[in-house]
Amino acid sequence: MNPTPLRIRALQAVMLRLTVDPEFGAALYRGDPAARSVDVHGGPYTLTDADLTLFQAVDARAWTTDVYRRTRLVQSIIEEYAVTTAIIGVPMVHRFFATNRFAEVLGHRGSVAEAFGVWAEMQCSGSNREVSRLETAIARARRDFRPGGTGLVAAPGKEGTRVRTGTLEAWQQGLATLGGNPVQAAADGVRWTAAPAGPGWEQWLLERNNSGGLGVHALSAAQAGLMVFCRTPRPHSAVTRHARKLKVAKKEVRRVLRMMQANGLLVMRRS
Amino acid sequence: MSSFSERVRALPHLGLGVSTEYGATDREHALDPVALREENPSWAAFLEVGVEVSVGLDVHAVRWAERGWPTTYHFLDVNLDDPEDLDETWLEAVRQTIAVLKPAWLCGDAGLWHLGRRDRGHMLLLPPVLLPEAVTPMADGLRALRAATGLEVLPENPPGAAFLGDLHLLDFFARVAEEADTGLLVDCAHLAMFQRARGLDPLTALDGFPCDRVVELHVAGGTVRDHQGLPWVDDDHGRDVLPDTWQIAEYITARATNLKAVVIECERNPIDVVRPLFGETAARWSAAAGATP
Repeated sequence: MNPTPLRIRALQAVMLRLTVDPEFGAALYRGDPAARSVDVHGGPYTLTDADLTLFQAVDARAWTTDVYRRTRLVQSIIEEYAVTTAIIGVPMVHRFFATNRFAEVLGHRGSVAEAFGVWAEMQCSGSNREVSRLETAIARARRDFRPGGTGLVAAPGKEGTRVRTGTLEAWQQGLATLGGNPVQAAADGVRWTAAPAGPGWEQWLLERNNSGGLGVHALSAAQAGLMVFCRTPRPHSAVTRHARKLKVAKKEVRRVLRMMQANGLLVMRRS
Repeated sequence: MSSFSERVRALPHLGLGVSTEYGATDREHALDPVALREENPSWAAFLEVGVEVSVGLDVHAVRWAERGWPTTYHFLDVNLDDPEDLDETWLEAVRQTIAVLKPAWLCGDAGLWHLGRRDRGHMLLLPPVLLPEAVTPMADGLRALRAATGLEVLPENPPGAAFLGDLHLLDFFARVAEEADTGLLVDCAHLAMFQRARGLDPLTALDGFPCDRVVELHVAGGTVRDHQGLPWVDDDHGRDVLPDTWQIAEYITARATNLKAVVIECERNPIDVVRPLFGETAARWSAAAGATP
């Protein structure tokens, strides 16, 4: 198959953004130079005058006739990020859909949930940030997505994360505070703040199981670091070097990597 | 590989059918395709099953197929112009679904079914960019899916209130069909939406359209709504079919020499409400084509 031309992918990304982000739409229809720059795979692409004319030929109101599209997206985020939503508030979840981070999802075959998690973490500080990071890792574990390519890669559906001591417990407390229906409570605007985290670190393996639930197991710091490093497939040599950076003893690296493969944490993908 | 004009002869004549998707039949007041078929077999001669592979098939679709009754497979989850969307995992799930449904062909809106990568919460439907350089990727995707499944794949003109690009929707799909050497599914209600959105007559551009490639038609009700002062047509699959939609359907039916199937999309309505729609569609098809639907 021929790849879709850059121009078409950029126009598609802009179309999609117009249906969700009226502020962007207003800027585009004004001809705002910043709105002409499209972050797209193989890009960036700058909308030409001819492209702008194509958009301006369409009544701007026509892009938002599905008035619930953004609400559905917000809802899908709250379903996976109830605690983070309670930390940052529903208006901030809406705000995400007017950010470049969201636009990047459109142009790069990204994941809204994963991109939101990364963005939301930056909106938080201290222990709240740690809880948000944990919830992002949970969202990643629910997916079995890994980018294409060869090399060592973290097993789909398994996510390693390293957070401050007490973060898992804090997240559970957050859920408990939101009550029997945490998603509804978060959507209704119930707010929550995490207690200060401990000084140390804890590492967790979050593992999607066959019944759709989530298993949580402890990992070593090196294992968690290697799983994060291998979210994208990496050459064995690069993983070895990274293990050394994570302070795995030189003579232990081979054994650690073998054990992680034997335990199904890492997978060797060949062409 | 034989040409479309040769391949189309092997496709079965399905007649009038109804559409469904996962869970549609279980909704309150929804159309029960089996009950409709039992009432009048020619009104539900086949079932068009909307499939999102991550969701799968509901028990009603499976039971229909188990009875050996005809089906078509309407995809709801692939951006045909994106090579990454036709990944082996998705294709394998499609093949498994085909093994259950044994559909006469595949079909579906040829537009954007999701933003970003295929993921929960990402599903939507937007029309393609109507520019010449968007034709080849779409045609490539159609050919690839046809090769991967061994079935005809009929692209459908998607709905929308906003259409980007200076090609007419029909000219775009005529080019896609020519390049992919494929048949077409024309959704008459979607086309009526396009014509209204562009301020055109319902039959604009049909004179140059290759009606001989049309294998399937969709007829559905729509409702004119207002959004910030802009009138637009909501493709709500209600009982009230716009006059534009009937006009388009009659024009194409009279010229579509390879028309095999007409779907009446009204899955959210009880039989009593939509019964007249089936009678009217059958009569119009018969009158326009001089054929028995």
